[in-house]
Amino acid sequence: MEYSKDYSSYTTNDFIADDAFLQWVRSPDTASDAWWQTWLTAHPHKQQQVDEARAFIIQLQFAEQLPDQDAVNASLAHSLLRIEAAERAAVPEVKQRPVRKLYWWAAAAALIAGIMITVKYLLPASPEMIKISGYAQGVRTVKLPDNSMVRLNAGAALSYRKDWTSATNREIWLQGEAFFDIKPSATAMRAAKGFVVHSGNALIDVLGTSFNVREGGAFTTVTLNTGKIRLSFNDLPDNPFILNPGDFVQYQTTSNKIIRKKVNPALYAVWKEERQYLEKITLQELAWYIEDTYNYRVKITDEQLAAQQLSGSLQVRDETSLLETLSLHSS
Amino acid sequence: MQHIDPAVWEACKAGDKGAYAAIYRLYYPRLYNYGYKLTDNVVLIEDSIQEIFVRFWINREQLNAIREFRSYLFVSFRHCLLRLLSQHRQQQGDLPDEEQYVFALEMSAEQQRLAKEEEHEQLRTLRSAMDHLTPRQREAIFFRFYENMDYDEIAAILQISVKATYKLMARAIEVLRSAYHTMPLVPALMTLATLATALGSLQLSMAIMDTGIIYKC
Repeated sequence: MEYSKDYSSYTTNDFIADDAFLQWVRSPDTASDAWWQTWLTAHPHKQQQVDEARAFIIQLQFAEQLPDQDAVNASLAHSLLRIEAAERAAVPEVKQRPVRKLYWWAAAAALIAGIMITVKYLLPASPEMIKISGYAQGVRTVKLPDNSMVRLNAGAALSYRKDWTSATNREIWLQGEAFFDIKPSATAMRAAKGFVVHSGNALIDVLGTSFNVREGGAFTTVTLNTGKIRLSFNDLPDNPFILNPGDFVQYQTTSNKIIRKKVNPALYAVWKEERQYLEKITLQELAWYIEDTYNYRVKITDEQLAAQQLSGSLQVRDETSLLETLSLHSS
Repeated sequence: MQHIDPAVWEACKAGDKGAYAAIYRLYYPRLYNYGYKLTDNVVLIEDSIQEIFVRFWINREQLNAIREFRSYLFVSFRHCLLRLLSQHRQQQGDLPDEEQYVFALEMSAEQQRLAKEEEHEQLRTLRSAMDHLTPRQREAIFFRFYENMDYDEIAAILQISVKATYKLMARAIEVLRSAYHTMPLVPALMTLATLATALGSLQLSMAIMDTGIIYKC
């Protein structure tokens, strides 16, 4: 600590406010003790101010609200899982898609499918757009001009051209999470052919399907329930991806990398119903879902437990309600 | 106040999870204690701590000094918690008010219990003087006299200039200290130089006692 200041004109309040003085009162050592003793000997008229300032600082003791050791340990354990998950996300396992196939999937277009994608932002939309925003809380059901149904999750928004008859494709720009139940073009409105969802840098081609879209973080995630879709990313050369039922594709925007795997797709669209009935979901599948959606690392050490199947209705508003429901079921 | 060992800091930056755990254990209680003065919603406090530590881990290589780290933690924690609080209030249907914040800084009750009798009055005065500070002044006092931070660090956390921090602190100290001046008897820690003043106070207190007697009659 340096003592370059001239303390001779300091008031009690000045001493209280001084860095070196505070340090001396709070953590005195031989050096600071010696310095202040010497200074006081030279300036005896300041003894009163120094004493008052010392007494004041010593008296300032505040009530503490400290967590107990168990709480610290639990929080730390949770944090370690999260940073591991963050590291995994930063260096994802990359699987390249096989050589591009022709559009054989178009034949299956009339099938009902469900996909879930996570998007980054809404693309700029052309004029004469209709924009529909979801509720702040809860699920909003929207009917599109071709009678397709959309469920918007909290905070999501979609827009589309006002006039669908003149468009070659039915196009949706989406921000946030939504589940689409798209009518096949044959039974839908006249002119429109395909159904395209733009979401951030992803483009999803669907022809008669039901699917689900969600925004959050740095990921774009698409999970297909049934049917087939074609998925393209603006920034990836290796496009498009053909998704089969149960396929999960996650695209990380920052690192431009892709994870592809098989999942139980019913789980990934579970939020769309007030209470979604799920059949024979294993705990392991649930664990993967929690990992992929909420960025936790979930480890089930007991293999038998991991393979245990659950059936029943599940309500998922957020991770807290999901974990609460799970803890009820397992106990 | 305990500080991070520089060796632990370097290890953590290099990716050592044990070192990370040591830092977490050191700062979790301190952030919790601080957060509790902004809200008693421990879920939001926990969420904020989780959030900022993950961010710290991801960005740890960009932080240069330990000193920088301390204010970094408090700045990001404060920001995160106030944002969550604001969202929470809106969800509860309260009027959205970004600026609305409290800082419940209270004097230690334990200290009052252990204090000598002659100090009781003084502590009580200090306690009530604390209520006369603005939330921001209380927060500055907390960082100064609980966390023992210097003005640069406090300025960084409160997002104001160092000069403004000096002024804020001086004003807060003045309010707290002015409570003393209004006390009838300044007890203890008297030196010879202050004896004359003390005698003056004594006469004043006797005068007050006299008034009391008159009331009794």
